[in-house]
Amino acid sequence: MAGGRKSRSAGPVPPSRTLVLDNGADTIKAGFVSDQNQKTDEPRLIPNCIARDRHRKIYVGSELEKCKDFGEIALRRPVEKGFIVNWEAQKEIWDREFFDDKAPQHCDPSDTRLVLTEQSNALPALQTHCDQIVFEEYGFASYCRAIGPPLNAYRDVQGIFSTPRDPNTPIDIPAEVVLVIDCGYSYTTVTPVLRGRPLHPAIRRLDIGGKFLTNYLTRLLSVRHFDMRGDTYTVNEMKEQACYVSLDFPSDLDKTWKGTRGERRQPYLSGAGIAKDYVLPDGISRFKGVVRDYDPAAASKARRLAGPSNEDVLTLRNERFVVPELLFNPSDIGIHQPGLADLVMQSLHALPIGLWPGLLANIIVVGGSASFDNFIQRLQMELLERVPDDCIVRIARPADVLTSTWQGAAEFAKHEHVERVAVTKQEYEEYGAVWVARRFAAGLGVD
Amino acid sequence: MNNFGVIEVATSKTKHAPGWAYVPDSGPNPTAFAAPTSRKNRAARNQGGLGQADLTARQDAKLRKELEALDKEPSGRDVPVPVKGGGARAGNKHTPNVRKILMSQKTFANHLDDWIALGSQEGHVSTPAAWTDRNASKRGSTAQKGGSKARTASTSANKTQAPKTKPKVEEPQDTEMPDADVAVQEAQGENTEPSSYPPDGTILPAYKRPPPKSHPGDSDPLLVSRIVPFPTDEELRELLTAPPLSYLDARAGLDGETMPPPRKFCEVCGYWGRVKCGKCGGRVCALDCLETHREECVRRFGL
Ligand SMILES: [Zn+2]
Ligand SMILES: [Zn+2]
Repeated sequence: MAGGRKSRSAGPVPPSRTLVLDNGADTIKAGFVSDQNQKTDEPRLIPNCIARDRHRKIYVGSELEKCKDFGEIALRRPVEKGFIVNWEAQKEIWDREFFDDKAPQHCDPSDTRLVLTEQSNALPALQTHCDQIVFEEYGFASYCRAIGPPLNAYRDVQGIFSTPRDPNTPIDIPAEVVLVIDCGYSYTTVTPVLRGRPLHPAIRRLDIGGKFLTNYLTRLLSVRHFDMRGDTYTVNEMKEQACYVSLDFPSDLDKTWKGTRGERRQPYLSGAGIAKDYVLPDGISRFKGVVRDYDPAAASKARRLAGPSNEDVLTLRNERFVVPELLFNPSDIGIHQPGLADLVMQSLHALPIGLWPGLLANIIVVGGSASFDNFIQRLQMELLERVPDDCIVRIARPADVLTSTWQGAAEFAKHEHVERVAVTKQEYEEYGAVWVARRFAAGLGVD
Repeated sequence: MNNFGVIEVATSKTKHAPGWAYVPDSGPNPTAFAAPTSRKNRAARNQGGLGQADLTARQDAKLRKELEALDKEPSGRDVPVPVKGGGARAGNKHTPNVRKILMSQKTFANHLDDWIALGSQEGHVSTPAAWTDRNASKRGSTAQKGGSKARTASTSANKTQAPKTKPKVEEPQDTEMPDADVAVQEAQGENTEPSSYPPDGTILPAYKRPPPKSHPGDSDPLLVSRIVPFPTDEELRELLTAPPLSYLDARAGLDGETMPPPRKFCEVCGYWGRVKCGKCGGRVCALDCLETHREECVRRFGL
């Protein structure tokens, strides 16, 4: 460890600009960090896919915003199961976004440091591929690959909790102790973090993420209404707009049940505040779906007319909450994995009990699926049932769940810690890929 | 509330089509899932219904297929990567490594299989450590006062402890190691720790802020006795320098006994699945959904 550090301090001055990439399966979060004291700009969100619409037109990355009709769209994603697997596609997207002459966030790698997030518990071969591309193909001057969730500790975590404090108290960066729950596209992970360092033996993963939930909603709708399998893009938007986490699952399920033969129960007829109408995009005048309050009158009128109406409306009932429910009860669909609260408990059980109070009182949730309504209330309810009575369970969700990890990574890129982990191109060439992989795996280590 | 589903099926509306049997099932723990022997099985089938083992196998296969479908990327592998001709990239030459990576059409599953195959050759296995075991042995009875903590120790007792090796950033001369895999897995022969640890408490410095507001429970002896000791610096050091778990080890599994039996839902409308189809084992809530299900069931499995 000492050898590596010494050679660094004697080496060339690190590049003045850092490209921070949170390279998600669904979206890339990308932005530059240069000056320590400068306020960081918001990252750009880039769809991490190559898409082909029904007219066989191809869109790469941010070009997708030009696409208006997402019906039957086919998406090719370089990131599979959270890891960059298809570099042919990833390189094409990166080239167009960052390295081509007219790229929207143009960057010269030979004068830039790259801070790149990765999913935890990666396969070593995929990590090596990544490092080889970064240095051998792009030639970044300096590079740091780090797992995403712990970087949230470099944000003002107590600010996210709105902890009352003396404005003169310096902010702890990184936060002393925080438990990060990342509800991403491919997985949901629990990562305990001390002073910015992940506690590796306690990182736990649930193999359900936003993609799985969208596919599940697609299936429910296709069985109950009409075939939506070609419209995953629309279903995903529907999920984001209309799904919520139930705080009383049996009661909500009861309210949305039609009843037995012939009978239509009152809560079903009225919608009980749960039913919502979703107006599907028609690809002509309406390109985005819209959620509306359930209109019982319209429902019966439509049935009476039974003719082609000018809009396709789906009434969502228990679909609104049984989908996010999978995060809390994976066994509902036959997955032999613990729900989120038990996932947290499994993680804690890998740690000394003395760390529990600190972690439980500092839980932050990030990632797209964390934004369902009631998400943190439900998690808190379930955790309180599982921890010793005197434990405080405090959970916060930053306003920017999607970009929180990027924001943390940007702060990390300004922090002196980045110097301890980053590797220069020269070091890669001198010591090789294996040495680089070891260095990133060891991370910050102990002071 | 209890007059639907099960009872109606049993009384008025059941049509006894050959090969059909609807089994009322509202209990949370159906003994039906205990698989009988194959001979009993055949006997059961002769009596008009499928044996439980057949049903279970049929359901398992269906479930496996469904879960695979839900985990899939929606379409996409046939979408071509458009190559932008000309421009700055035209003259770019790839290194052999890069060329190989860009050509690779392997999926994540392929890479995972490779990794598993490699592991079975080299015998690299790591197992998640259960700290609670150590808490139990180190602290003896003081940390075990609370009932919940005793339970903690027992649920994880079946797990083995992680090897007490630390990842080490190798000196540059070690770089010829041919296999990237060793980066996180390799056990070290020599101890690279500095000879003297910093004094206790340096990893997480002592709490220096004003104490939290007092609480009526502060002086409650029951609460005071629950306070657990903060881990020692040595314990923290071990945690902070532990290597990452492998992909498979980080996946959370189930502790069979501690989990309640799974909930069952109507396959048609999503309400509680109180009635079980004797033909395919599928669940429905009550009559309306039963009829819908029957159509589908006949189409799939015949009469
Ligand atoms: Zn039903
Ligand atoms: Zn059936």
